[in-house]
Amino acid sequence: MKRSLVGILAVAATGTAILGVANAYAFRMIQNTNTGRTSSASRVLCDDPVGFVHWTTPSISWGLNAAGQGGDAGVTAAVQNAMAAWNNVSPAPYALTYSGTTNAGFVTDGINVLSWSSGNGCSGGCLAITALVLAPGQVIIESDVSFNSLAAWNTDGNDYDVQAVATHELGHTLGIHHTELQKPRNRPTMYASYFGTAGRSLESDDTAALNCSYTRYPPLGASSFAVAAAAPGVAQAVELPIRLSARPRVGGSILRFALTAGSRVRLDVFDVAGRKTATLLDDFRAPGEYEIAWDGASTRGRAASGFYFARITTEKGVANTTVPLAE
Amino acid sequence: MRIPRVVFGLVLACVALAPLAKPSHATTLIRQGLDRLAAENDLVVEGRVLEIHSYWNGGHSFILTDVTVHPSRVLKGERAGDVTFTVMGGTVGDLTTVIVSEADLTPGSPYVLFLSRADLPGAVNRLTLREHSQGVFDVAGGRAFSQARDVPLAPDAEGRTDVPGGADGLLLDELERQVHAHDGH
Repeated sequence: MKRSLVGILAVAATGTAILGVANAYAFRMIQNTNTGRTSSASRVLCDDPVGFVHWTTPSISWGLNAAGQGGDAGVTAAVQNAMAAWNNVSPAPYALTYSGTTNAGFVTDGINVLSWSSGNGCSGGCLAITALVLAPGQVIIESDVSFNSLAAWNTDGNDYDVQAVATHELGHTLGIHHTELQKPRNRPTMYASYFGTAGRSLESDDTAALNCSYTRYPPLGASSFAVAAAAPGVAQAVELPIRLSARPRVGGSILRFALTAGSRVRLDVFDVAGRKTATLLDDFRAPGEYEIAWDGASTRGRAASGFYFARITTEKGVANTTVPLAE
Repeated sequence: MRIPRVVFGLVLACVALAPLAKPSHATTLIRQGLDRLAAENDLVVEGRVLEIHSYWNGGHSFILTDVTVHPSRVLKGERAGDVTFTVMGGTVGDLTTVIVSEADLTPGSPYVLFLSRADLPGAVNRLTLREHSQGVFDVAGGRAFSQARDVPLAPDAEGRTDVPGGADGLLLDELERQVHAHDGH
């Protein structure tokens, strides 16, 4: 009985954190499984057994329809900054890139677009609306955001702030629902209510939500593609001469990486909430392929069984991978 | 022996957490009081959803859903039999479009609906829930509960963020009285 309880606690660690018992995380993910109902964008925990909507690619390109307020001065920079906020989340490898202006709009055409209109079902008391197009398995294959063109939009800090609302809506496009965290200060951008320019930046609750998605649904190529560490502003997905992978073994996991050039290497392991669990390597390594075993040892004793993620940082960049940890 | 226990633990954990999933509604919405909801919508009905039908719009560019309701009470507007309105999103074949802000309507369930006409993608001047979840009240035990009750709203011009009736909802008769007070009747 006791062992079963330990198993439950280990697997449900994420849920405990999300519920706010262990910390303040209260993010929720978007779930849609109910065909025949009008929306069914349920709010669920990271480890909900039915899962949640997610991307299978780390690179998500966005166009901006310049019609209406979309062509106003400062709007392009505002939406790029909103993308950069999510790009900076680590170790989640998602790279939202700005592909320029487009004539596409709030339609299902395979193009992700930010646009301004009053004819997309967002008028009256609606400031902005997000549509997710899903393939079977809750896989997001497209997303569009429409801002209400009848509202007053600004990029100088006055209401309504384009960057703050874009940051929030882009969070929805990444599969993140509204947080249940309610506090007067340092509100996550995924707080449901608009609260001014403070919504431009992400809080730990927001970053934990995106890392949750990455941990549960590692996008294809996430291990072999890395985000350029030195790229300012919007991060670009580029292939770097560094690989990181992991495979389970009895009592732990084996991490494998390759270096094409000698470099100082740091290899860290994080839990699903993004908390550093262990540092496996922090030293210089010559070119070649390496394998390092992790037996679950952490700064807080033996880590619980479950999934973790590792990040390797070299002078050439960083790469991430999911790490299973068995008993 | 250990593996089955872990799997057992996983299953139990999943079962324990499953009830935490709940329908919700989200977007960047400005709070709408009952006065504005009543004044700015053309048709307000209490009724039960009969049918939901999702389809591609005429240009095959967006999935829409028609919702047919049998009204039991018309709080504003002309009574004209069953009412069909359109919301964005739905499922057709293998594709689903989810509108993060849309109302959640289930066939067979009763609601109070605030309806007006607006343009939807590829569908001009459709009767719809312009205020999304704020325009829908779940009906239970003679009371109406705003579907936006779980979602903090952007403050309105008076700085208010509460939904009409709050968590306790409104008596249907009281809701009807307030709608009549603000609809010009």
